[in-house]
Amino acid sequence: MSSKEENLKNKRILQELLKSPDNKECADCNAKGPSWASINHGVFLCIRCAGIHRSLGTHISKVRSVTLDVWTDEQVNNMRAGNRVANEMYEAKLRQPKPTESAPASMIDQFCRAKYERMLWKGDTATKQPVPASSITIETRAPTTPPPTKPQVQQKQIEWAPAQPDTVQVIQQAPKRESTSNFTH
Amino acid sequence: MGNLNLKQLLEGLFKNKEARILMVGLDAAGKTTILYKLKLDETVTPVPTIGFNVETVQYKKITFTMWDVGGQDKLRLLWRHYYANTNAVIFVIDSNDRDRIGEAKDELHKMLQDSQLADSILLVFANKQDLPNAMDANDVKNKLDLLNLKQRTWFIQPCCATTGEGLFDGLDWLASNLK
Repeated sequence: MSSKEENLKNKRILQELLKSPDNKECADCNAKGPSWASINHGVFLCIRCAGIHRSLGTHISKVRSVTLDVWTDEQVNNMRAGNRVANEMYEAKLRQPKPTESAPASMIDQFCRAKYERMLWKGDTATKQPVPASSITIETRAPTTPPPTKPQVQQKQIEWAPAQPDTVQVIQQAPKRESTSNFTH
Repeated sequence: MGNLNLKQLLEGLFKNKEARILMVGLDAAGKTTILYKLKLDETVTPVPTIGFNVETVQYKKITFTMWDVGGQDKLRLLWRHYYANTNAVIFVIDSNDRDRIGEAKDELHKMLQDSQLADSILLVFANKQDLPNAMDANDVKNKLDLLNLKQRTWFIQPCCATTGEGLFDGLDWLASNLK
């Protein structure tokens, strides 16, 4: 197949994927009609979230435009599962409301760093490693567990999340990932 | 008559020079972030550029008119429409993106073959030096094969657009080398 035919074929597949109900909204802010994508995370994005993903660096997210870039077969294949399946994995442990289209960019930036860089809410399939003591901390709500009387690790504020003073919060440790050690701002 | 000559001389000495600068590079290299850091001294997280941005920046008695053109695959075909009368090309590299440095090299050399850019000098910004996997300027220089640019006045400057580090060093080089 010539590269031109391949481009046309890939363009058609992407347009079909974007018609799926799973991909009608940006994976991060729910804006309608995404036409950008993070090819390593397999999510379709709106242009604003695409800009935020680009600011994370290509070691965290590789962004392409559905309409303005030429795609390889492999890149297209990474997108086949779609936003719903990808978010089921990346947001498996997310218990707080997501930011929406009207949220300020700084809030979406915080959300994306938590979701893709630190992978705070990723599902169990990726969290089987033992938890080292030096790992980062996260907050989750777990109403059935009493809060520890004295936090053993420093609580990390998630800035995009709305304040929830009545919620019981438990601090638990998250698995260490290679990418986290590289990112201390 | 003597007064007039003196006036012309003084104008020549103190009048701003003007330079037309074309800033290109692969998508997400940091072109727009560089533009607005230079113009406003603000760190922005821009949306991807579809089309172009243009701003003037005053520095060292030179008015730099900087054209920042989008770098997505299909937008690169439009770069050539901005080539005419370009005094300097700024080619921006995402030093952290090792996968695409070869693609950047190909685009750079392809662009420089255009006769409209025969007299333009070349500044390469090796951007994103703050990121963990960034290649240093020497590495970028080698991977872009800059030493093979025989007839070209060029310079490579490491930088970080979000902090501004290195950006004005690049403009210093331009100011000294623009004809």
